[in-house]
Amino acid sequence: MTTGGSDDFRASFFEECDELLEAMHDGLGLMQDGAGDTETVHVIFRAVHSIKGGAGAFGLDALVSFAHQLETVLERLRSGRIEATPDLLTLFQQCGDYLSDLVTAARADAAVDPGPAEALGSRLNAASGPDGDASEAVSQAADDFVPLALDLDALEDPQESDADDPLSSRIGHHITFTAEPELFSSGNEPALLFRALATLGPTRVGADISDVPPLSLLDPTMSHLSWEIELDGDCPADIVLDVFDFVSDCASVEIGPLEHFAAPPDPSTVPASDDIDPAIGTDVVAPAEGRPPNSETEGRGDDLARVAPPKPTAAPPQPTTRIAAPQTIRVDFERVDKLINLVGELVIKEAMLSQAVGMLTLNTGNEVLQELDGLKQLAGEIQEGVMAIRAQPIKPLFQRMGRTIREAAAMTNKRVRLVMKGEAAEVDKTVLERLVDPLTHMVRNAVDHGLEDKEARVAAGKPAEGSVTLSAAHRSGRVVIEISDDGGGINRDKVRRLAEEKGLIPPDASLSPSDIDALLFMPGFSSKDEVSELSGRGVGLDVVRSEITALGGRMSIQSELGVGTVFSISLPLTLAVLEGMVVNVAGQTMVVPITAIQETLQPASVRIHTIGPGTKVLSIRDTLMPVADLGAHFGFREPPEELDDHVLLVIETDTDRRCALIVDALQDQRQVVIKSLETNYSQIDGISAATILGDGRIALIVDPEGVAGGVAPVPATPAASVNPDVVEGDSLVTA
Amino acid sequence: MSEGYNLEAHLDSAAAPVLAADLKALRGKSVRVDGGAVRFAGTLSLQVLIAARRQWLEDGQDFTVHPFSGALGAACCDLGLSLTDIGASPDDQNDMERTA
Repeated sequence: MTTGGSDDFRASFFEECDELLEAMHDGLGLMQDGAGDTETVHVIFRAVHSIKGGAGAFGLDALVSFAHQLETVLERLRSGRIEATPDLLTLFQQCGDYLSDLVTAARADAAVDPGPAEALGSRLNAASGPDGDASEAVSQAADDFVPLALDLDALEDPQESDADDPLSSRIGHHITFTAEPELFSSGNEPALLFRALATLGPTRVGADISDVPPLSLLDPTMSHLSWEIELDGDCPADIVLDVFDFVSDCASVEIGPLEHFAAPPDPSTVPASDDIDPAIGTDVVAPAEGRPPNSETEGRGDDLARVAPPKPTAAPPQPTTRIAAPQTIRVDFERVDKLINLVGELVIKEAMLSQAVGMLTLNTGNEVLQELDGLKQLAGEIQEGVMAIRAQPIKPLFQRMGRTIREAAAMTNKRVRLVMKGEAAEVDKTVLERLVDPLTHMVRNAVDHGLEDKEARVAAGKPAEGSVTLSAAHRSGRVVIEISDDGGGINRDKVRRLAEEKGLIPPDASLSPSDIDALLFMPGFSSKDEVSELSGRGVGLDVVRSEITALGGRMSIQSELGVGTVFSISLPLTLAVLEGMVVNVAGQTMVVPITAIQETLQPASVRIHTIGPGTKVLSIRDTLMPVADLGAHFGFREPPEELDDHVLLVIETDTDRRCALIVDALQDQRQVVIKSLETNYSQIDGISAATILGDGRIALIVDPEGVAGGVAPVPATPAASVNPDVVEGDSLVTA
Repeated sequence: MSEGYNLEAHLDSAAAPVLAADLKALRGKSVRVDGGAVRFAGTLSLQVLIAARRQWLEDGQDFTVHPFSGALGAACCDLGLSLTDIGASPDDQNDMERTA
């Protein structure tokens, strides 16, 4: 049965899975790089174990079985019974990928191909060594929730059952465990933790149910239980803590020495046998200190009454170890989005207020103006803060590419290492989501076409294993992502020859190296003699560039023959706000992205030439660029003959087109809240989005690429040589 | 005359609110809960049974879990709960084992 609460639990569990898978892949990556240690294996083990635990609570049997199988081999590695051979690490990577698939399928309630589980399971069996069998783990996992044989007779008298294990002589740990609601919503179950504890030594588990209210007062999503666990043996406390590590943010765990609680129960405090539960499979453990017995139920002779709290021995108290919960909360992304929209409205309202106050012509220093300035600053800070909430590290995206690289390497029979740099850089979640496809394509390209075959690499004096590096860094208010390989670099002679053969460029075209590199972005170009199954250089790179451009990004290539290739993507940090120049055009107010504006000029101060009827060019710093009237471009008016009363905006687009746009006046440079035009209206050529101004009017945000595409030629000299029929509507990109 | 209620096979955390609502609807009558089909019982669902038993005690009505599966008993065992906490009787378990 599925309820809203159930959906919440599941959603929370899968969010947790994302983090656990990230930790697992991190660890696997470290091991693959030879940087892993015992703690790394612990981390991987715990991640897999946690996923299994949560999956069990939701009845995701396939996930439980496979996780258990993997966990078993990890445990053997952890305990030193098997070695971390390269083959084993590769197997772990593949198992990690399949585990991710299982989580994805479970999240979508989709069926998953059991084939890989069987194949990987067989390999895990083989890897677990002669005295181990991961398949046993499968059956064990399947049996996790199967009835246990309960020896009630042995438990009729707890003291008798302890005859061979006198409490007074025990050493070990006393653990107090209290679960927060988040523990259950993330799919964890205390029983699984207690079972994990039992692998460290004999345990006795006792639940304190005294805080459980009658049903009418119970919130069934909250836990009112706490537990006292006694763990025998000399297992180090940090190992014990490890068991609870992955629930540290949703449970309270206190560990102290067992000697504190070593006194056997005082028979005089034990109620008559009729009032005592015959604890099943566990010793009776006292409730937590400070929890008074439920007098109401005791008054009725209720069998809920428990053994009295134990008396501490004379031993001096020792400090307990407590896991501190990290100061983070989970928030539904929709809530953040709603908050961002509201903050956008706040910024717009603030602009409206500013405009209204401005019409009052108040004196400088007026209290209203001062307070308004304070409000502006506050609104700006709130907006910045909210945007920061939406920003997420790029690391999960990079990790996802790790799998793409592994699969591409397997398909091309190459050895490839992924190097990640700057993965902590944060980018707007929306930008990240839309980067998945383009980045996947580029990473595949890097493996398939960028890196040479093993033989070729060795012959060139390079290591047989190639590397693909993903890096991210913030530069000038944007994030720059680079995909670089240490392959053979772009063979420009071959690229040029292919472009000529395909009629993309005339044979006599004069192209610089960067121009040739830019041919890779032309639609339909492929430098592969045969397009491979995996990818085709050029096939899709034009689409990649389109996607990046749609994100407000720019792409460039740098390549050196024999050394490698670097694709750079420069992206805005967010798609929610934009720094723009607000301008007047033919009575309309429009916004031009500030990133596109190179400079603003007074026409009277520069040389403008007229070439033919109605065609003007601006002469500036020994170059000529077309001049276009923004009002005429959108059909607001005829192009003005006299420009002296206007302003020129020199813009350069992401594809290096340059032109000067005529506007009537500059209003202000400010951050505007982007409102999607496609969502609210429809796409308009030359317009990327809209915003709401302080006076409540809608202002269109100019798409520089769209406007310049109609007036500015493709850049650089070779542009004149490019076959215009082939590059229609497109342009070249220079590095 | 007691009211009967059959526990679901999978009593995970998500099932707890449903179980609580179902049992609340049965207040005022003696209830016999059939736990024979339970394959998995999580903490929150067991807590509902504990709370229900406590409620029925307050109401002066009978609340029993009978029969119950080995999985249900094992779940109690794992969590350090006694069968009587949820309204079941260890004798049932013994009977079940003898007839198994």
